[in-house]
Amino acid sequence: MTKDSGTRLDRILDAIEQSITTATNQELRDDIQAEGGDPAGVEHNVRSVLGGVLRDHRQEKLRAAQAGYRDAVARFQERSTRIPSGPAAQRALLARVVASGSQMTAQFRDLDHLSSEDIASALQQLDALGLLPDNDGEDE
Amino acid sequence: MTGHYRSPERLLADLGIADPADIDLDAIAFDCGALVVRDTLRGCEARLLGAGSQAFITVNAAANPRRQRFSIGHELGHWMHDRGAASFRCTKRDFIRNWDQVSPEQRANRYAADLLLPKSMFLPRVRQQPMTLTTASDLADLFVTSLTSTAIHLIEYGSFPAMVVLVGPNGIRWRKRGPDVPPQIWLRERTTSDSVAFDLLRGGTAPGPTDVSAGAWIEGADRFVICEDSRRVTEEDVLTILWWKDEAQLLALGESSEDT
Repeated sequence: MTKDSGTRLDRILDAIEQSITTATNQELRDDIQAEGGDPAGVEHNVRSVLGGVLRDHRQEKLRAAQAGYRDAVARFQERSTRIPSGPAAQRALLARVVASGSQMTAQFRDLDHLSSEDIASALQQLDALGLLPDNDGEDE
Repeated sequence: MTGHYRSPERLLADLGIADPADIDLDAIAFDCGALVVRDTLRGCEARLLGAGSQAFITVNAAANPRRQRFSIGHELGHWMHDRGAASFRCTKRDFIRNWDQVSPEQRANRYAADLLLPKSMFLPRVRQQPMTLTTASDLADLFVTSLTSTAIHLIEYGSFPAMVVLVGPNGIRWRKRGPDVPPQIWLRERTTSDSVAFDLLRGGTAPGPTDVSAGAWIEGADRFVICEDSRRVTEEDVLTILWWKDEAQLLALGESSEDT
C-alpha cells in the first residue's frame, strides 16, 4: 500500500467511525433495517467481535506464558545433564545436596522410598536449577 | 506475606482468566517461575524443587488429568506459601525446617481449591442449583476437578443447606457441613438401612437424588425427610450429598437437637 492510498483509507475509516459514533441508536437501527439486516443479529455479532478483541487483549500475558512454557519445556528436554550414571551414586548425591542445606524449596513426600528414576529426574532438575556441586557431574 | 506471593484470584486476574476453560495451570505456573514437567513418579504424586525464583513442579504422568491438575495447584500453593522451605518426609525420620504453625499441606490444598474452583467463576454457576451429585459432577466436568472437591465447594457456596459425607464400610469417614447447616445437627456414626448409602455399600445401584427419612442419618429425626444423593466413588466408599430442601424443617431439626 502506498502512502497516499494509506492516508485515503485512514480518512475513509475516520469518516465511517465518526458517522457511527455520532448516529443515534434509532438511526443505526434504521440504517441496518434499510439494508435488509437484523439489528439484533448485528448487535450480537458486534458484541461478539468486541468481546473477542477484549478477551485477546486481556489474555496477552496468558498467551505469552503458554508460548514461554512450551519453549521452556522443549529447552529442558533437550538439555544435557551432568549427573552420575549409577543409581547408588545418584542416591548418595541427592542425600548430600539435601544435607548440605542448600537454599532450595522442596516438597518430597517420601524421600527414603524414592525410586531410582525419581532420584535421577530430581537430580536433573537440581542441576538445571544450579544446585548441584560443581564436581558432581562425573561418575563416582 | 513476602513479595513473590500472589493469591489465586490475583494470578487469574493478572492473566485475564475469567472462564473455567482458560485455567491453564501449566501457563499459570510458568508465569510464577515454575515449570511443570510430567514424568513417571513412583515415590509420590507430585514434587516441587526450586531455587531462588525458579522451580520445577513434577506431576505423575500416570495420574488422571484431574488429579494432575490438583497436584499442580497444590505444589503451586507450596511455591507461593513455603518458598525457601524444604520438607522431606521419610518413613524413618522427618526432615522439616522453616515451617510455621499452620499446616502447610492444608494451606496448599486450600490454594489449589481456590485456583481450580475460583469463587468468582464458581458462585454464579451454583446459584439456585440443586444440591446434588449431578450438579457437582457437571461442575467438576466444567472445571476439570474431582467430584469430591467440587461437591465440597458446592455445599460451601451453593444456595441451599447441605452436607457432604464420605461413608465407608465401617461408617462415616468424614463429613463437611455447609454454612447454613446448624452445628447442632450431628450425623450418626453409621447410617441406617433406610439410607441409600447403606444400600450402595451392599452392592445396590445409585438411584439418584432420593427423599429418605432424616432418621437414616440423624438420631431422632424420623419425622423429617431429607434429600440424599449417594454414589459409589471407590471400591469401598460412597460419597453423599444430604440436602435440606425445606429450610424450615432444618431449623426445627436444629431446635429439636438442641432440646435433646
